[in-house]
Amino acid sequence: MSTIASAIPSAPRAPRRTLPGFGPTLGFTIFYLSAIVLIPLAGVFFRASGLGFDGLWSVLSGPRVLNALSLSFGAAFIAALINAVFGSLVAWVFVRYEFPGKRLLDAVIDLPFALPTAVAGIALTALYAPNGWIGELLTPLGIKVAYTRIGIVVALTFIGLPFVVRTVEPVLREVERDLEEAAATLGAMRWHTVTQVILPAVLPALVTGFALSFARGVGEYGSVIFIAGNFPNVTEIAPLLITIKLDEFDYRGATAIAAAMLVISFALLLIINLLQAWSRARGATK
Amino acid sequence: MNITIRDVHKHYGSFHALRGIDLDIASGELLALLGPSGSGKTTLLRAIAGLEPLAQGRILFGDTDATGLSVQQRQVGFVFQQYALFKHMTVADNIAFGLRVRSRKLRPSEAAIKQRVEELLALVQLTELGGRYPAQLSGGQKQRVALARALAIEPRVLLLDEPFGALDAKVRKDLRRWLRKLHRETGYTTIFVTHDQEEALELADRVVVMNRGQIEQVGTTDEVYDFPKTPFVFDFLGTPNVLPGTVRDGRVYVDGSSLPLDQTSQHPAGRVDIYTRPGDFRVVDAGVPGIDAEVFELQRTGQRLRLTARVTSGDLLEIELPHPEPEQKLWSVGESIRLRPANFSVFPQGATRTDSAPDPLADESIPGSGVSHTVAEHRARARN
Repeated sequence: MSTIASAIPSAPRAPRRTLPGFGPTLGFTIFYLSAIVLIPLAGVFFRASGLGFDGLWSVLSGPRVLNALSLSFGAAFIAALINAVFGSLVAWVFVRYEFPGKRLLDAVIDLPFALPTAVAGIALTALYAPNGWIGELLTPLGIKVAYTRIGIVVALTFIGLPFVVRTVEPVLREVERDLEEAAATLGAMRWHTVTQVILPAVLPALVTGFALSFARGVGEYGSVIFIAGNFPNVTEIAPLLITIKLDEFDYRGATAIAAAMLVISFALLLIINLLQAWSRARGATK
Repeated sequence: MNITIRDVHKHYGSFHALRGIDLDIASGELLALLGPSGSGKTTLLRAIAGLEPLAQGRILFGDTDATGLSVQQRQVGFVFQQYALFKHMTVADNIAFGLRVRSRKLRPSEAAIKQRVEELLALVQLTELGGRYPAQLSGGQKQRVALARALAIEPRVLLLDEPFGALDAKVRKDLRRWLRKLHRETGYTTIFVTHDQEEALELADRVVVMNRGQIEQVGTTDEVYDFPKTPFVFDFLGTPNVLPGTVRDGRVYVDGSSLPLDQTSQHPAGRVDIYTRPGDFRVVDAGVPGIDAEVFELQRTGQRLRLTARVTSGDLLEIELPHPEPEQKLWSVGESIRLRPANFSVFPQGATRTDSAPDPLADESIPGSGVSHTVAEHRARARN
């Protein structure tokens, strides 16, 4: 065996990769990401680090900052959950049914993407204010939306809806009819089919949509500040607080909050990504 | 369970997919629905499963009328062409699905489900693969998982839609043999859809040949092959040679010679088309009744000798002769020979042979149609 092997001249070194261009493209990717994302973000941390640990802590442990942060993340989370449920429903209707005006409605879904967020905020405020069309109906019931936390959730739901619809829709379209029919022939009622066959198939996409909607909600500023009322400690979101600090020339305070938001967002998105990788692995992607 | 189908109709918009299907399926039978695409065979299978609501007609499982039953209530095992396995579930969970979704009253205990899954995995010879996901399986393995999943619910009937369509030739052959064995062992009434005549003839007890939403012929594999009732069946089960002729006084006159007709069965009178299969011809000596022809082309492939002969009218016949003896003298091109069809069928001239209706679903070629078309074209030319 060994004699035969040694008799064969050693082959010239094979090229390391079958797909050429790895080096230049990776180089460009890193350069590009650095210029657009990493360096600006690093700047935030650099500025914040100037405060030192104690300085950071004193800014972040203030009740107003804590309230603003928990409001921003909490409201974004609730809004993303609402979108996950109803966005899936909307996607389902678009994929499965034909109805007049479908194309028009389909375009409407994307409007929150395109609309200047301030316009959305003003429109929602006008609707939900105590004397607005919807607010008028809710006030007698004792429900206040505008200038409350509910209002913030409403605005974030509006902004985040297309993220869920547009990520779930194509995946749902891929779920073969066969699967539902197979479940039915095996005796599964509709509820079982939806929860055990269809939902697991679209779950990774749903998680992505949820993450996008959530991330958008955390950073949202324009639409929220009109409807929120911006009462410190009650309806003041973190991005607004950063703007306020900047207006007061408290750059260090602003960067401290920004850095905190970055860290929390990054941690949450990382968790969501891991969740997704896990659900993908279970689904054993083709 | 025996199945009775009566006067079943199905429309898709203006397309009449099933036109009055009547069929009796015996308990424990292995039945093939054979036909070209668009013939309605899959629609019929889906109608039996309850996946297609019917415009008209009744379907009975045993003595119970199943027409109004939902898919879930019918308790049929359906194996889809693309298997339709649940990708996010393991093989074992896929198989257990039909048991786990049962209402609490009817659901077996988790231990019983586990045991049943083990039995089924053994039955389909996948014992080691219960923990795998469908994406980690080969096509043939997926097919067997789909089958095990369908069997798990103890179906009243097993329905298979093009069960071997997506597999390569070797796997297909093995799986076919295996399915035949499985059917013998389990005894489920089984109906499968195929467009492959070889598959139907090899696997089934009985074959239902369908064309344009209607049943052309039902019979055992031998019956439909040896005694095709319609030109379509003859054409679909093989590659026929068609010669024009005339029936008179119990003989059929073709191309200047005449052949006796089988007196025990009825034959049309007047102008007819004579259908023969390539393997039905023998080369005979002059003096024996037969058709005079001239060797047009000769090709030997291993065991078989393929001969194209031109009869005096100009028509070409595709003939397959058995393995020639080593010392046997082969004919040369242009040589005159006399051919005698050992078997042939006679149909009134102009009877529809192939499905030539415009068919939006026809995207695959019909097996066996290639040669017959060429023959038909030659004939057309000869007549002009």
